[in-house]
Amino acid sequence: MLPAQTEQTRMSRTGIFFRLSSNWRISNFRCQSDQFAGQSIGSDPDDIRPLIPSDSSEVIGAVRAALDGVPSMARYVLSGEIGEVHCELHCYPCPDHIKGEVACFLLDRTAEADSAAGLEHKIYILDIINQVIKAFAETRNLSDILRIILLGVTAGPGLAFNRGFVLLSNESRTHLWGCLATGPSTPEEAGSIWQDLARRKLSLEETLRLYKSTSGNVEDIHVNRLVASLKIPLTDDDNFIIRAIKEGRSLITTADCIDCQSSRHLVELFGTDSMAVVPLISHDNFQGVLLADNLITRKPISQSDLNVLEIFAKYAADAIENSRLYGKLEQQVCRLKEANEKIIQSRENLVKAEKLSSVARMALEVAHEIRNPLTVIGGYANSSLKKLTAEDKSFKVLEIVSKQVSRIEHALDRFSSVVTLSEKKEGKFPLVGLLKDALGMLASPTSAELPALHADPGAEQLRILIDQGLFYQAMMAIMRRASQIAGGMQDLLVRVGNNGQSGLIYIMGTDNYPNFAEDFYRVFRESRGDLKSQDTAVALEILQHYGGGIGVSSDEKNNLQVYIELPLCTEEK
Amino acid sequence: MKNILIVDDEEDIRSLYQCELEGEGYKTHSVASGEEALQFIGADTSVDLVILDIKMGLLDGLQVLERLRGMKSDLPVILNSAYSTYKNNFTSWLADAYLVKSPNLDELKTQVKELLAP
Repeated sequence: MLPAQTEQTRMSRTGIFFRLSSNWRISNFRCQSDQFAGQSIGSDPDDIRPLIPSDSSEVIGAVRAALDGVPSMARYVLSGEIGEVHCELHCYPCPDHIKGEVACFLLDRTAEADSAAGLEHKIYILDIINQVIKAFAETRNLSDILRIILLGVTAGPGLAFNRGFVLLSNESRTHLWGCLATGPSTPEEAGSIWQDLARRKLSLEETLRLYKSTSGNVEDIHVNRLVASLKIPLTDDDNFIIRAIKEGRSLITTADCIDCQSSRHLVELFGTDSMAVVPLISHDNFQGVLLADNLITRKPISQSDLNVLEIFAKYAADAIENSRLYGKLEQQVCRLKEANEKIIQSRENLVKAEKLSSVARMALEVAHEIRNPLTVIGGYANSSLKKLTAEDKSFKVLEIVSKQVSRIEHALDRFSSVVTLSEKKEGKFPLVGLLKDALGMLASPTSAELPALHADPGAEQLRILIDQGLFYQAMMAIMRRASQIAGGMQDLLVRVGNNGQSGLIYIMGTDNYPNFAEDFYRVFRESRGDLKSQDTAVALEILQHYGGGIGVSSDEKNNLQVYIELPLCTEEK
Repeated sequence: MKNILIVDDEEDIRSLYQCELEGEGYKTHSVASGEEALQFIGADTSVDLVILDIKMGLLDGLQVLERLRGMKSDLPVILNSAYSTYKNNFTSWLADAYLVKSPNLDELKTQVKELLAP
């Protein structure tokens, strides 16, 4: 057994020169100092005998090789009271005149070994962080990211804390919410989990791959219940977690930290007062906090552990922020996509409505041009038939004319109506939604000027049975007319209400144009024969086809308002 | 004998209506425009009913109707048009009836009879 070493002696680079015989006798030794690996070296060869283990196969092999004329070296570790001493024994053959001995040079390599071990540890930590960063890069899903964080913190081939907890801030940054935790709650649970992991001998990468897509271990239910119960207001400045966040620094909790009721409550919940608390901050944006402890092993958390956890937390915070930003971006993209689809749909509906309107106008003109001569031909045929008897020669001919005229007239009735002309796809639609769409179609690409739309309480639930295209056509014709009368949409108000049986769309002027309804009614009456009025005539035909209509009424202040009426869907309809 | 004024820019329609209504025992007069109609009514107070086309030259039937209401508010007017869609319009409500032109004149005759009934 080596004597206890001091840090100073461990750093010694002292070497000892000596000769060693085949029967393990030490002679001619010289030491560069009076100490080696903490042991005092005097002139007695026995002082260095404990440093050369004669039962070490490595040492024996090196000595034998040198005796055979081959320089050799053996490395071995001696156990001391405060640690291990790493030795390096170089053996050289002696000149021919010194038979049966080897020249030895013994070096203390403990400092180098420590340094190598330190380096190895750093590489190990870097490797962990590298693997975790790679895992972060593979997902934008927040749950996956939290699971990766906790696995990195607690996995054996990771940072190997016993338990890890993540608490995140809510959207409005008023509270910290417990989100996810991992780790055992009892030694028995720990034994079972750790034995299983040890048996599988998984690397961190394999562990991450294995657990990333699972919803967590059943063994973790307790800690997850615990973390789910946590909701800490960010105004609770006495709480050690909130303090760490606000000061932006990590800490290892001690009894001194636990100086308020909420902190004491947390310690009771976690079952330990030794815990690493690391804020998750990304680009100055606070995301939450990472907690880790060694509840089961009771291994103290060192400053070095905390430093590693801080580096880890930095990348974790970035991943969380990226995930949250990505989520927001996805929502915005989704909203834009919906808006774009709506615009496309609106444009399609507009084109359809315009086409329908053109067809309707044409049909009306054609019907008018045909109906007048038809009336004359058929009318005279019918008139003549009444004056003749069946025996008259021309009776049969006139009868045929009358019949064919009647046939054309029926066809004309059918073709002169936009309602009968259009291929209807009727359904139950929300009145307010349809109206919004119709008004949206009237907005020009350069100006979104639309009348203010107000829905009475409950109006959003009103549904009507109608063909969407015909509704749009009717509303667009009426609103265009209203807009022409009002000199634009800015002075118009549209309100949706109901009278129990019908949905009512009121169109009125703003305070800038209180006489809108009177003007609307007057213009409606005065502009009969032109093509624009045919559009409104078709609109009225559509409304009437669905049991509705248009009218003028007065409101509670006796102001006139134009209203459009359409029957509401009942349960049976 | 009741006097009926037929206002239509189509001569054949005027002739047909006159022929048919006279056959029913009414006395008829006909004019080809809204302006003539207003002049006729202004001059002859014996008109008992007007059959009024809508689409005519400068002054259309609906404008004539409005002016007639100002001149003789109780004079029965039947709007008679080749357009079916005006039936629902505000101004049409000023008329006592709205009939779409048809080779079958039974409905017109019935309406005339009802409006001229004592």
